[in-house]
Amino acid sequence: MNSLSLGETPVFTVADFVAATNQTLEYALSGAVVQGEIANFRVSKGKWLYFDLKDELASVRCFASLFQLGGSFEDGMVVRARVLPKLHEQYGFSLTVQSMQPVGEGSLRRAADLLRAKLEAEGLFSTERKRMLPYPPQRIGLVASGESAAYSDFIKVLQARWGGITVMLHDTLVQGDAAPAELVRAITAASQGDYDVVVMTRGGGSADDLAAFNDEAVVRAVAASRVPTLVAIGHERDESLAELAADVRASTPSNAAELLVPDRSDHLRALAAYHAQLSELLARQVNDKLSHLKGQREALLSTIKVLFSHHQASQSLRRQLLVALKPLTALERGFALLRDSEGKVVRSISMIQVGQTFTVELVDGTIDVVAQKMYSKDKKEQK
Amino acid sequence: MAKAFDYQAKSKELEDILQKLQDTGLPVDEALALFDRGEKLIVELESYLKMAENTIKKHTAGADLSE
Repeated sequence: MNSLSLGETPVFTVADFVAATNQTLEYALSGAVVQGEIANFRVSKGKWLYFDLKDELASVRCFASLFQLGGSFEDGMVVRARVLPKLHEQYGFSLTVQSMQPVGEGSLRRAADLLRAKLEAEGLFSTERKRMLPYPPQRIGLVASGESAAYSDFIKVLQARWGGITVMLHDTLVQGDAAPAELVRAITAASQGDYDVVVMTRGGGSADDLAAFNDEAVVRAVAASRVPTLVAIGHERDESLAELAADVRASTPSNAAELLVPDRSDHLRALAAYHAQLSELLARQVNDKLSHLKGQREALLSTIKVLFSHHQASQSLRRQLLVALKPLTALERGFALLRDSEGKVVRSISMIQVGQTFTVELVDGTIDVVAQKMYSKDKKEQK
Repeated sequence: MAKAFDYQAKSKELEDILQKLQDTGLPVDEALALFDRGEKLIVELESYLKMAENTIKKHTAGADLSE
């Protein structure tokens, strides 16, 4: 220390005094947490934040880098800031803010609204970014607290509905100051895993309890996930920014499991119906073939019938013809058959001569006759 | 490692079989073969639905996430 001794009391140069003060402050108050209301908030050069933290009795100037604080703040918001007190050589006393979170329902909601508007403008919540989840997934990366009711509810509903899934728990804090960093680490690890979907969930709670899911880094980690995401935070009415950034949002941890997998009892009912349908279709196939065969048989029988009746008709005709042509039939009708002495049928007058004997054959007997005179058809007498 | 049961693929195959069996021009031996395969698939799928259990693991830093 470059100080001049003046009796018992050390005398500092201004610079040394500032340095000594900073050393003392750092030793005594580094990392102190201060709660107050933001006033005179402004952003300089898009990088630096200047504001005052105040309460009813005091006000102190604060400085921070926009990158380090992230989030969204404005005047009137009550915050809790982790600070490093510092006495600047030229600008006097200020607090360098290392991290800062809104406190109280109103401030938390306002901070979330501001961040929501900012991220919405960046397109982080746009529907074009949303991806389909595989249904059902084979491997799930689950970002949750292993001790939470949300975890138990999710697993219970999942087990009841579907099987054969591998769930890998990425155990993490889900509330408190350390939660955002833990959540970012867990989401990032899960999004690099061999999963079909990353599920992030926790049960309901106060706005303070759920604040980590409105943290900018957490929301960005969800949006950046390589694996499709399903986020279910709190109860039905709660809507965190992390849910808006997710590909799919579920209202509760149980609802997340319901959205992810079908209900096995529905599938068992469908399989029973398929079984009945399968038997019915086979029966229809067989009946179709049988009815086709029956048709063919009938067609065959009908063809045979037609052929048979044709054959019968033709036989009957032949029979009639035979009857008509039978010589005896002609004799019955009054015709006679002439035979010479040798028994040959006389067909012409040229075959006999006058005086020759021959036989006339009638239906019931014969008459021996002698040819006395013979005439041709033109009435000329034949000798 | 045994090949994982592919519920989706088998379920799709069953639906295809039901679709094919609607075709009345199918030869009867082919219809019977499809019926047998369909019945086998239904038994496998039912058994999977009734028996398959989930595996719950806890991720530890540095663990290999692929099986």
